[in-house]
Amino acid sequence: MGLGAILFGLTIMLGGCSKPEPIQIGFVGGISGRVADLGIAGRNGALLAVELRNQAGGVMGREVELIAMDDEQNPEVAERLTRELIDRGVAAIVGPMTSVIAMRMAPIANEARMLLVSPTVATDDLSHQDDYFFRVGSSTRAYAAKLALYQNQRRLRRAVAAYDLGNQAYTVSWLREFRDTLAQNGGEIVQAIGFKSAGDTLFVPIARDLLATQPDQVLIVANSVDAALLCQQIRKLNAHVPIVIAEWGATEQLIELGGKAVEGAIMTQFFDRNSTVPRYRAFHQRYRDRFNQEPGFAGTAGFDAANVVMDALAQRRSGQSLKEAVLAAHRFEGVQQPLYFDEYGDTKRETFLSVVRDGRFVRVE
Amino acid sequence: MKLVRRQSLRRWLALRFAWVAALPVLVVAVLAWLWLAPLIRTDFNIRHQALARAVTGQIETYLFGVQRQLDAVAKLRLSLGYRPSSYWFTPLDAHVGTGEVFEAIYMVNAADLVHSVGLPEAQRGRREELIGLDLSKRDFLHQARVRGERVWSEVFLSAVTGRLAVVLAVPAVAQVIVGEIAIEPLTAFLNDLPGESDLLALILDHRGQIIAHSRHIRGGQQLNLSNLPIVHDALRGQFATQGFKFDGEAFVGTVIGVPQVDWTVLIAQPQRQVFQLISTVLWVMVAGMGLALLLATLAGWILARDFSKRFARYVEQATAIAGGDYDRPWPTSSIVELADLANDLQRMSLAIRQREQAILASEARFRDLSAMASDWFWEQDDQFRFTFFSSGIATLDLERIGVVPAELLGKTRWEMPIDMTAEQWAAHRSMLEAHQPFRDFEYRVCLSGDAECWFSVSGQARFDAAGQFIGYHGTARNITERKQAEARQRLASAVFEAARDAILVLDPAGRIVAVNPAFTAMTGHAEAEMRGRTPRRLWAERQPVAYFTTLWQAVSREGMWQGEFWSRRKDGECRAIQASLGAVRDAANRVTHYVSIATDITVSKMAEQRIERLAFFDTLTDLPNRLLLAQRAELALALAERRHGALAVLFLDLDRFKEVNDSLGHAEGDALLLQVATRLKTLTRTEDTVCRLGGDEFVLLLPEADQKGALRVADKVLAVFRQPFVVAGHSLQVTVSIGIALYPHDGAGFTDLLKNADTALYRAKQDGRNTCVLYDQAMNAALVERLVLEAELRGAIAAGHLRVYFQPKIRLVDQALVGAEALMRWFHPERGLIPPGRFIPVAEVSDLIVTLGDWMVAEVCRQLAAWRRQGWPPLVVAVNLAARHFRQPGLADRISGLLEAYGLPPHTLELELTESTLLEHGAQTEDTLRALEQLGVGLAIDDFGTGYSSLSYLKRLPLTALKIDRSFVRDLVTDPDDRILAATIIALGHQMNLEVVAEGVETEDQRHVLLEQGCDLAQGYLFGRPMPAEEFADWLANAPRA
Repeated sequence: MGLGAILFGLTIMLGGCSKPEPIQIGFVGGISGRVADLGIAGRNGALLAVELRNQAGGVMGREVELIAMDDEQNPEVAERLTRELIDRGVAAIVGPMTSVIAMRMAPIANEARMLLVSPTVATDDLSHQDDYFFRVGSSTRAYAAKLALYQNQRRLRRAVAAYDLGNQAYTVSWLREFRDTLAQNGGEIVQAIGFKSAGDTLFVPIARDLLATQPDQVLIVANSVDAALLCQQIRKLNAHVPIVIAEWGATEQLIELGGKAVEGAIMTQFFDRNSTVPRYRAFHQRYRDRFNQEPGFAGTAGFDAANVVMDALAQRRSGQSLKEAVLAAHRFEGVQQPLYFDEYGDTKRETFLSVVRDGRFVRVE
Repeated sequence: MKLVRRQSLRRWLALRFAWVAALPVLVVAVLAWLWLAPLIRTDFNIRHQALARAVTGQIETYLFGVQRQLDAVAKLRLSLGYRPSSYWFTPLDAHVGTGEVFEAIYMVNAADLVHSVGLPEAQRGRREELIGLDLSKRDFLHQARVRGERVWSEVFLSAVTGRLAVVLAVPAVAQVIVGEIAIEPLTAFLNDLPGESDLLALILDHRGQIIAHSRHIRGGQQLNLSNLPIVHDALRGQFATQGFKFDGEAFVGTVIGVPQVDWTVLIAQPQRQVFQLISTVLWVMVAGMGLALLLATLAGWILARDFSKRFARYVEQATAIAGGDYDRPWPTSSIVELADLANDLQRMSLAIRQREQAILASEARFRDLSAMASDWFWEQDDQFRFTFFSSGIATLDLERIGVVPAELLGKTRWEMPIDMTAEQWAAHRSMLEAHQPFRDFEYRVCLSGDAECWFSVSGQARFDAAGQFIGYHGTARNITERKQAEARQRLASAVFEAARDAILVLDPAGRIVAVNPAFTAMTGHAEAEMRGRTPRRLWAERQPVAYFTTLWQAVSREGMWQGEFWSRRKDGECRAIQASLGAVRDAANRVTHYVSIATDITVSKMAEQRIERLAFFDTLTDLPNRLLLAQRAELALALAERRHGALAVLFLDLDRFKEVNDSLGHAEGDALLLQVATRLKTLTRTEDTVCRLGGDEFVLLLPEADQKGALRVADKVLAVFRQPFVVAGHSLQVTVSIGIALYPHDGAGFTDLLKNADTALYRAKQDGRNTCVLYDQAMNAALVERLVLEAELRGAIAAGHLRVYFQPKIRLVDQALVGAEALMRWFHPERGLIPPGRFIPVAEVSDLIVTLGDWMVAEVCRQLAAWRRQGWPPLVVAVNLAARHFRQPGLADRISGLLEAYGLPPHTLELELTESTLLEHGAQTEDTLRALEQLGVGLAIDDFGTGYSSLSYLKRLPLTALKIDRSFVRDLVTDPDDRILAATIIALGHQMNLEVVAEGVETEDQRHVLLEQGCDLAQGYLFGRPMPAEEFADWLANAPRA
């Protein structure tokens, strides 16, 4: 009898108590490798959003679990992971972080009616489509055109460009937009050099080739590491040529690795690091507490994207798909500004110009 | 009794054995568990710490090696001083070596630009790119310069390899030697750790980011675990063993810091693995214990089998003793305890046998006691249900009256049909609940039928050896007889006290022992005064003392006396007493007491005397009444018969006495009767009897009086009435009519004589009153016919033999029909038409005349209404009503009702009355006539001129017409006197504004004369005889109209 009681007690102890199944949300991004800073920040932002949500009681009483997947910047891997997440029955996927991956994931997601909410993907190739691809940032059109207009005002007409061949969905789209706007004022891109982003890529020859044509400005459409390294080589050759960096590369690592070489570089952003919006300040503090790092635009966007998914889950009415829920809600709170989704799942955000000054991103306008 | 599960000794021993063995095993198991579990945890902890220390040691060794190399480079730089970039390629490359540890070694100048760089062979192609690289924004460089000492950087992703790296910056004058070191080798340390495959080993940097991971290549993903409490604490310098969740799994882990680089090593194992070990240990223990228990049980079973076999013999022996077999030989045993057991059992059986015999003897005594006792014994269980009744004489008696104790078993006392209130029960029950004893608790049981039975019960609570209440027991007895006797006693006492009759109880010597309150009330003597005295002092002197003596003689002779006597109250008043006196004897027939019951009958005695007087005397005049008259008449007749003598009966009736009553009132009427009585008494002898029959009728019974004597007395009576009577100041001239019947001539019996005298009186009345008439036989025949006619007439109305005839009434001036007189006709089914002259007088002497009149009026109204409906012109119909009719109150109302009912205007009806009616009229008649006038009904004087007429009446009363009697009309033509008389009457009528109607007009001459004299209307055979309604209607159709 006594023995039975002990065994019974033990069973209870080991058994624990059962909670409702958590809601799973997928995350796909490049979180390993030399240029993983974008993906890691996006993942951390999404992770923080989920953790804060769970601390506040979860979504309709259920805990949320973020399943973070590393696409290794590899489209094939991303496709596989997308299917894997769909099979696991996640509610939605936050990601990806780069356009090249997005182009491959979107058809799969459409087929499975799986909502993708990307923090950072900017390619125009996915704009204005009634698909399952949503994003919380602007498209390249907004970024590149704004930057080009600014350069037009500075009467910088001749441009050369270096761009990442590994993410052409973004880089080419970006350059096209820039070029078209530049052309309005008689400007042109006289040379565009594509390169492969890898550890053994030599930037000295690229820099040399870019400067060979005496351009008015150099455009770098690449990730932060490559952009920083290229800037270093350009500055070794020419200390003054204006450098324009696409927003992709505008992470904290750009400055850390670029050092003085990126001083004066100009870029568009939808993100103001010096924002005093209380919501952002609170988020910023929490992010720093949690990761001991700056959130950057990727961390902020990841946070926003995950929150859009969770808000939509919480607001979804019975019989409504998550996509319908997002479109029905239309407006979501972002940490720096409200997010307005149009009927295609694209957001229009305020973008502005920044320049690196004294090792910091400074808003120009 | 609690039911105990029976089991064999063998089984019991085996189980008990197992239980005794199991208990310590269990205790050991629990203690072991309580001790083992923390021990296992501690063991895990120690192992983890050991592993973590090993990892830490390896890390430190690794880092120390790196540090030593860079220190060497720095020393070299210091000793050599400035050299061009390329100068340093070879030494730096040499330090980098294969690149397993160092990714690169930089030499950074004061402007934070890369002065020179050493690379592994594969990377040397990138040297150009790296020289001149601006590292100004790298934190470690800044820190190294500021602090002037070695600085380890944060972990970061190598821009070249994409792997995690860490930098050691060593300052050397203005320069800084920077080594970029691969972290990947650290992962190898983790993978090489001994122990289970599930072991989780992590190295975390100062931010909580994973930089090395035993399971996965996840270092590069910079997963930050600072949210885990264990990591969170470790980053703040608190290292401990804790549970945490990672990758969806629960772990128990230990952390140790690497101070040099501010890293943390985390060694953890899945929690389930820890518990798996604990549960394995537990299951082994459980299985071991189970086996031990099984063996213990088996051993117990075997031992028990052996023992129970030996024990069975003693059990059999005990069974035999229980069965009463005390003489069975005892089993022997070499075992001391068993031999002792046998000895003790033997002694016990002997003791039991002795006690049993003692108990049997005692029980027999008690059984006899209960069988013979008048009480019976009962027992109840703890729920107060009867469980036992003794049997004996008492219970047999009970059964005789229908209470069967056996049927009460299992019932409570309150389930019996006991007559007791809820409160009484509650009180009794609360006493029972308190387990208190009770004595002489008495109650009544209602048996079948109306029978009842009283019981007296005593009882006390029973308790078992443990002091537990197990019920009640006690005795009970039937006290019905006692109760009934008490009830009788109470009743007798109540009767004695409450009796309205006086009751005396005397001792055998006749002295008063007790009296009741009624006695005191009756005699005025209190009991105290009378006790010890004889009742003699109650005896009034009105009766002889001998009566008192006779009374006692009757009692002693017959045991009983009953009678009346006069008693004197204490206050001296004499009272009539009706009393009985009886002896009360004991069983030996000796007189113990006398009881007397007395009632005061004084009041009834008085009443008796008054009733006697009332029975025989008239209360008003105090003259003998009809009953006494009859008695005396019988007596006188008997004498007369014996003596062949005569006897006269005079029947007197005051003439018009009713008028006195009506005009002066009944009191005055009575006063007159008293005076009459007094005068009559003065006229008679003592032997005569003056009797008042009632009203104004008197009878004189004159014994020994013949016709001559009777007439003489009658004359004296008439004479004495000639003196006026004075009543209430009025002088009244009252006359009397007398009818005389004589014995034996007019009848042998008093009844006949009285009836015949009445008949003679009737004749006297008819003869004009104030006279005396002797009876003769013819009178009787007329009377009989009158009575028959009256009876038949009563039936005729109901049978419809009466008819109304109408005789037309004509206006003489134009011979127009103006109305009719209604006349009554009686068609007797046997005797044919009976003329009104014969039956109207008969009806007049009785009330029948009113009935006939009412019928006539109703019939006329009905007919008038019918004619009106048929559209005939309005006619005035006259109806004759007798004087008596007008004296009836409510006549006017009845006629008014009839007219209204038939919807007739009042003037269509005319009532005819005779002059005598007017003469006899009283106050009521006049009122009636006035009411009729008010109503508008016509009133005519009939047969005018034949009777006495008072012109003042004619003037005063509301008349509308005069009818000249037919006797004047008959000789109108031939007799000049009649002609003058008729003319006078017509003139008189007209003078008084009355319409004049001539009756019995039969000839044209008569009509002519009347017309000449100015008579208004006429009726007679000349115009039309009386005819039925239908005929009258036909006649009307052919007659001239008004």
